[in-house]
Amino acid sequence: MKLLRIELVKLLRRPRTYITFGVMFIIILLINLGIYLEGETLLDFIFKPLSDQFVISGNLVNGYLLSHIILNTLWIHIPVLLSIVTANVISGEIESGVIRFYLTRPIPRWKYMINKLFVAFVFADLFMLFLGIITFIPALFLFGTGDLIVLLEGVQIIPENELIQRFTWAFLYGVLSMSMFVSVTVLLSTWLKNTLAAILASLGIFIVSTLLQTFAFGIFETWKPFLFSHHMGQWQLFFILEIPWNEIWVSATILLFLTIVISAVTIMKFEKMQINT
Amino acid sequence: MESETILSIQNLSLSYQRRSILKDVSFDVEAGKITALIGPNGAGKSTTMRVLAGLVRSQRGKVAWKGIYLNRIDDLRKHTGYLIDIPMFHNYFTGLQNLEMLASLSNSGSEVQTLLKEVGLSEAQNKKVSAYSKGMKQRLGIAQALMSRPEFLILDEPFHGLDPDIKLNLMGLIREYVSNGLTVLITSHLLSDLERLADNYVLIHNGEIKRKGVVQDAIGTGQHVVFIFNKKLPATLKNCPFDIDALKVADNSIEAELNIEQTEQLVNYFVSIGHSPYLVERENKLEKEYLSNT
Repeated sequence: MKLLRIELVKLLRRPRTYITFGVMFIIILLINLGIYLEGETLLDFIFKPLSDQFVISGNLVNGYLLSHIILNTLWIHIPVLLSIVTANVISGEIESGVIRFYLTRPIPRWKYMINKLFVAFVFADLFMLFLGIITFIPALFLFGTGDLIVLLEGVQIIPENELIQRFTWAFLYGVLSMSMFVSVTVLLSTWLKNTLAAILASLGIFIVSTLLQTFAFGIFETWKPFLFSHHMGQWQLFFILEIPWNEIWVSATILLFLTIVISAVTIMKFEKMQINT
Repeated sequence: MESETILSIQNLSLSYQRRSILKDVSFDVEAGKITALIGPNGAGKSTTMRVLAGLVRSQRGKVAWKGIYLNRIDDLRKHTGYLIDIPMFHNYFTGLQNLEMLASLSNSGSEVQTLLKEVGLSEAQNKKVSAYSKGMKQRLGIAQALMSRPEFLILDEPFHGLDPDIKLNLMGLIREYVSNGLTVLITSHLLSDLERLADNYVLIHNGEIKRKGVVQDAIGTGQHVVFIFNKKLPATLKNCPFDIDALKVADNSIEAELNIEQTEQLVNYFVSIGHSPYLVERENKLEKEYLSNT
């Protein structure tokens, strides 16, 4: 517990923790401002394909739509910001040499690493919670509530009374997805012993996986289940009228399994690591 | 009296990228003594220290603590304080906060203030480490190594970057701890410091132990010392504490075979008669031993 407390204090005292929160806050503020000023144009752009077939009336630009747009837009940005902090947890201390003080205390290395992983997951959770708060509160305040129209596997019109619950599930799923991504960055941070290399490598893996997912059509469709970005993106399924729970459970289980396996590999790697700095 | 062996290192071997770094390194560390591990750069001194600290994993070798073999070298950490290389701390915390964090891991929080006082950092304890000088960081490093009052201390280049007065202060502190029963294994590039500080030495070269011994035996009873003066010495040296015939006196220099205390005594004598030497050169016998074996 003492080690965990120290790691949490370190996380909360590091400037880069607040930089990531600050950057996210500014991005969302800009999106909110943009939609507030140019909402109608955006609406026309999004629903143009439907205007020939449907008569659209009512308050479509509402806080829920905006929140959904923000989550879709930030799908790449969130891992980028998370990696800035979590790719530094081990490599940062190796690079600076601070790690020597901890590893020469009578604490097993595995315990040290479990605490590091735990704090990285806590950071991902806090970040997602922060994202949820700064996405919803201003959006609902500025744009009000209403039904949500989503263009996903056709046109989905989700009634307003279901939306809080669906967004909560989507965020919880997002926490799981980001925890999995964070486990990758911590592994790379341990492996490469260099923060910048760990950030670039983890983002590289994420981007390649996302690109392959984008090109996964026709015969390439078969590789989709093996791409972790595909499973990470399954939060979208909560915005289909009839939620495909089976598909979600499979993806969530895969993400959880990957998180556990990658964390175990990280601990094993760290146990054998030579600290030469 | 025969000293007890507190730590016995046997056949420590380590290879990295097909290169042998440590080759069957074996030596003993006597309890309550200071053992200096000496050798040129890349000889394996720091690697040996790092293996004993559990930072680097050796492929082979055993370590016995007070005659009992340890299951894992990591178990040595229960009895040992370490200062490995230049100490690095969290720059965004104060010296006190850094130590308190480490102390909380070994339930030695109450000692922090005492330790900071001992290493002369009481006044700077609330400054952020980013504002500390190299010497202050080194002293903070010593303080963390002494945390939870270990029986054994491993110091890798503890005098690196220190001013002479701080270095002397630190040497005095180490000596004081040793007189209270602490055992020290130390490396330094400054052999003259080790000659003054260490009781035993172990010479390592190319990952192999080349020589072990007692520092005093290497030094002998005296060292060749040369005193140089900037003015002519008086014809007679009245009340000189040493036999004038044993000194080789020239117009403005004196050569003699003296130990450290005798050297200090003679310097004080010359100061008292108004002939302060402007240069005192002592032959470093440990250095001679080092050079002849590497």
